[in-house]
Amino acid sequence: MSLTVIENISHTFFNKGASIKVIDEFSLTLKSGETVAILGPSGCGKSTILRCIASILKPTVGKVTVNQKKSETALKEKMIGFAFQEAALLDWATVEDNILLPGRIGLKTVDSSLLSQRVKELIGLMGLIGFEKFYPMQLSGGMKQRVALARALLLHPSLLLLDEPFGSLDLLTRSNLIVEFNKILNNLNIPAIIVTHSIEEAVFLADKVLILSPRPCKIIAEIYPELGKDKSFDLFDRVDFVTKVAECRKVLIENWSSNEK
Amino acid sequence: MKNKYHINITIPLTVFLLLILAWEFAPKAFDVPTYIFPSLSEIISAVIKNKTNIGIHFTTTLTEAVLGFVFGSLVGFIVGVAMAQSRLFSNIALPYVIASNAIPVIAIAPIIILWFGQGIAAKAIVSAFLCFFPLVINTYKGLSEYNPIYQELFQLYGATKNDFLRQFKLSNAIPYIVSGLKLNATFSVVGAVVAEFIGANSGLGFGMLQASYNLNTPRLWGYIIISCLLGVSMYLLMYFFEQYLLRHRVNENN
Repeated sequence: MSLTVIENISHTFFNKGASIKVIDEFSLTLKSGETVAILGPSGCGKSTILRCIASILKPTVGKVTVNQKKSETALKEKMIGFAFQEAALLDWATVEDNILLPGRIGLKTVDSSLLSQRVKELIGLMGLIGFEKFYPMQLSGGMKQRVALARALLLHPSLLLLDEPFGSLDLLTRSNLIVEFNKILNNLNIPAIIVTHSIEEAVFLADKVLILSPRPCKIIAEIYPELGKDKSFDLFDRVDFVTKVAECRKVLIENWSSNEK
Repeated sequence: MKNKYHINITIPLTVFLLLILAWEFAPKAFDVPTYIFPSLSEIISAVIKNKTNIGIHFTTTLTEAVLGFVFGSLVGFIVGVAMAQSRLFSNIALPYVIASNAIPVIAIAPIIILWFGQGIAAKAIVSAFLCFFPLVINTYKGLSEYNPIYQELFQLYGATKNDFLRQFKLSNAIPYIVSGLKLNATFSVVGAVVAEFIGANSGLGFGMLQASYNLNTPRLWGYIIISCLLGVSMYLLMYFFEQYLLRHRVNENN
């Protein structure tokens, strides 16, 4: 049973005497197998929230614990998986070696024979069979992103953070990957926080959608899609799905315009 | 495709052959005396006549240039890495590195020969001196320029500064580093030849000097062409090395 608790994170960037508050008291509790999507206008500080949770960036106020461990410790023990908007693969390494990367840096937390077994599993899971020895330049954008997701899953993280991981893909590749990835998340039971600007993506993947205000971002609405665990491609056209998407869009647009006034 | 073939091969090759022909026939056609501008065949026959001597001089310069290339590049690489890894070291070293490049090699060569004698060692040092700067700068630049997302990725898994250097920055810097090596391939030959002009009893530069004292222009041109070919061959070697190292990466030049 894994549990992530984010308590009252606030973050302010300081630059030459000026200060910009980007996050305002963000709190969230996340249980095993739960997926939370964070939606918000661009530039509101969504990515900063993920970086604070991962403690790549130290939040000005607030604390994060992953399985009762402080996030700095969680980071050291490599308990957090992260996928970025860019695949961020090593150009000179094969698909296999790219997926193995988290096992090769920092603390040695997993035995190397177990690692190579996991790489095999992930390659199967991500639909990369046959591409083990390929280099990034030989892969399409969607394939690269699959490799990046496999890399984030290698150490079976207690928390998975996804920063618009499908953002750079075309619509069809994106929808396909979302459907597959949803299955994988359910199977592995890993709690995930996904930041996105695609309402469809958020509603499809998440058990809970958090909608943020423009900067400094604050949670202004929580929407529960409640679309069941078994989600297939057809879901995108279902009435209950479309209704939830509309509901989210409404909240987003209302708050966007209220801020513009 | 056909057009590309012409652009890459047919046209450059034709121009090359025309230049060769011009070199051979223009001096005769315009009645230019041999000591002013010899034709290509006169140069070649002068080289063949002196082939034993030229062979010895070639070997000397080759040794000096290769030694200079290896040591100069190696030291440059190490200094470049140290500068990229330590802000303090970079602040201390950068002015001297730039100064080293501002000194004309022709001015420093006599001093190096004064210190290290007339042999191969001094020439190799002059050559190394010339190879130092390009590799410092290229290594430093290569190690400093990367997408910050990779730093976050490595940070996420608790990578040390050393992990990040060994597993990311060095590989990422290879395109820059081999660019430096390509520059050095020709610089190393220039360095060795210039040093031989100052004080030597063997080497292509020494041969050039002798040929010019004797007003043997064809032989002088022979030495020039040979040292040129030596530089170009070393460059090509580095070019193929580069192609090999970067075979899995997207080539921005193509």
